[in-house]
Amino acid sequence: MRRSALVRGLLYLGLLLLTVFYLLPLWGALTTSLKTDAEVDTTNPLSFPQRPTFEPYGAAFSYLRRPLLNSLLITLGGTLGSVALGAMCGYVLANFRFKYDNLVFLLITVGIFLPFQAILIPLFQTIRSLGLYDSVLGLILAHTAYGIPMCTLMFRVFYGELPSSLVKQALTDGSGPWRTYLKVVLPSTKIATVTVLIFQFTSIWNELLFGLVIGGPRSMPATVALNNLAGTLAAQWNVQMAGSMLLAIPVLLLYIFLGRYLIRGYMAGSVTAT
Amino acid sequence: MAEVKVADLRVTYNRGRTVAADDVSFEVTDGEFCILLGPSGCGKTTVLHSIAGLIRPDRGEVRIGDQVVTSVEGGVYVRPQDRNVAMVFQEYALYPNLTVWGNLAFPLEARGMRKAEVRKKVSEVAELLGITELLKRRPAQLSGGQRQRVALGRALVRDPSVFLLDEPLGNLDAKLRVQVRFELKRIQKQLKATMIYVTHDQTEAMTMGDRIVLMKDGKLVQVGPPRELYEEPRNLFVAGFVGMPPINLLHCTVVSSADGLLLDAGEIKLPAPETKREKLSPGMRLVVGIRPADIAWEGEGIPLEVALEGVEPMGDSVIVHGSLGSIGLTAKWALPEIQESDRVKFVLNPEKLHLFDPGSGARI
Ligand SMILES: Nc1ncnc2c1ncn2[C@@H]1O[C@H](COP(=O)(O)OP(=O)(O)OP(=O)(O)O)[C@@H](O)[C@H]1O
Ligand SMILES: [Mg+2]
Repeated sequence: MRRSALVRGLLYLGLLLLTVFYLLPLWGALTTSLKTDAEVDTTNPLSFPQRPTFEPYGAAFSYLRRPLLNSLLITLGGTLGSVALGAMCGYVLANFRFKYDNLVFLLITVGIFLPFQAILIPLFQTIRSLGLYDSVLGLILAHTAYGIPMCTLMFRVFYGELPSSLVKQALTDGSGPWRTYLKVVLPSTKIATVTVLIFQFTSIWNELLFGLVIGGPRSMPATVALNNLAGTLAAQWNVQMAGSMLLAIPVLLLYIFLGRYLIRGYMAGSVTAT
Repeated sequence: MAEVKVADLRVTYNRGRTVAADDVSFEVTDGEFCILLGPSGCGKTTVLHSIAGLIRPDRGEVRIGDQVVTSVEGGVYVRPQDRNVAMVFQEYALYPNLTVWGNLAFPLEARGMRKAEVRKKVSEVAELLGITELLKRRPAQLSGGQRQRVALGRALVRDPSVFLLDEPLGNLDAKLRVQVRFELKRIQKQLKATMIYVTHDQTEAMTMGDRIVLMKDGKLVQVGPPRELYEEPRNLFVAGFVGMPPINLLHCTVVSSADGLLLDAGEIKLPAPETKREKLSPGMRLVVGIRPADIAWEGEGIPLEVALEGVEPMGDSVIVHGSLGSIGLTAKWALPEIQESDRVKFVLNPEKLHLFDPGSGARI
């Protein structure tokens, strides 16, 4: 009894230390973002700001306003696009048998394992020949296409957890595949949908490479702008950190409000039991 | 309502490695209560799903009314949502996101019925099945028996060409089961509904069916009215599957004696039935089947003194287990109870014996 309490205490201590270590950079970013230029130069990055100021946030925001808006549009568009299309694919692949269905599934999901870098050049050429270079629409399109494989896989797994008799029942009840999806499958798998939405939102929001390659001055997402900030304003750590915090806020909010769904979604049981 | 015709159906799974149904042909006439009976895994659900269009068979044809809905050879396949069949799945398949009301209304709304009429139909069916108080609940808040009734209601609310029911009473308790069984049979008669009803419970099959389609390992074994399967089982499997308690089986050899041919099972020797005499010859090996209900406690026949092994009172009848040397026999008597003693008299009627070939199992 006492021994196991000791082991548990040590375990917690170890985990606590690791957590502190993991959160240290975030802490450093937060404190630095609240310091004045002068204080940044003279104090330790981890020390608490002596006279906290929001000025760096003002500076970062005025620089990042347009890119943040771009990011929001790109992320919303890309998330909705990939989730909607992935859900359709997952639904069909989980519930309907057709010729070469397994091959189709395989070919779609191979996309998950394609590294970003491998498709950059053909992607660039495709987007340019579509006349979508340096446009928000081009980035939405790229993220939608790139997100479909992962969304398809996740939805197929989630929808596979629904008893297959449910869709069959709806069909014999005279409800076609579309109506069945909207009236039965979608409402029974809300947590699954939220899980995939958060997953896609986070990936697209944080993505840098596509924005760098097919985005330009007009369509630049916030990740790219922040990266540029590091180059142009080399010394202004406080502004850069404030920009980082601004960029992190939407994702943090998402996790704070919807994180419990995400955990439930990842731990199966994402589907309402019959 | 409509008739259903299944012809030469073959269904395989795992790219042909599992044959779930083969050479299945039968007909259900308009307004008939047809039972698909057989042990677990024999392919009942597979056949039912083929009729509903949820499975595309490898071969064969399905006809509902005068429409061919599946024909592999003719390249015809009508989608399930266009077949107008009402299905109750083995695992209920209630829509978890909808209330009981929503579940019952679903098939009507899917067909675009007007709201007022939907409301009327749903409350009628809810009344009929005694689930009116449950209409606002969700499936997760129902007991197994209540879910089953909702699933049944979702089929009954419609006006389909045929009802396909896959063990719809499996999870009801004994009392409710008898009640719903009776109710279902009454509804079926009243609507003159064509029903195909899957079960592995032979009591259910005997009491409800106009006709039984008995399957084993994906094949039809015997098709006919319940009495026919009971009185003239085509082979040992049918004899053993139909009837409760199960038929007594004795391994015998045919011997000749002064009184004619005898069936010799060691401790028991029975005269061969008159009607079967010409098919028998001395030295032949047979399996003799004796229905427990064909063993009497008095009257004419061959009396046997057997040692009493046990008695199961069933209320209005008793099941009596007796033994004669190494042979065990079970009788079913329409008596409320019997005098317990060491020995009882079993009276056999030789004309009611069933004879089977021990090799092929076929009826002689
Ligand atoms: N989707 C499937 N994939 C592979 N094999 C299957 C599939 N469905 C059924 N089978 C096999 O086909 C055979 C017939 O199955 P089926 O479900 O029709 O039996 P059943 O008579 O309805 O049994 P039960 O009374 O247990 O419901 C079984 O051997 C089963 O294992
Ligand atoms: Mg079954």
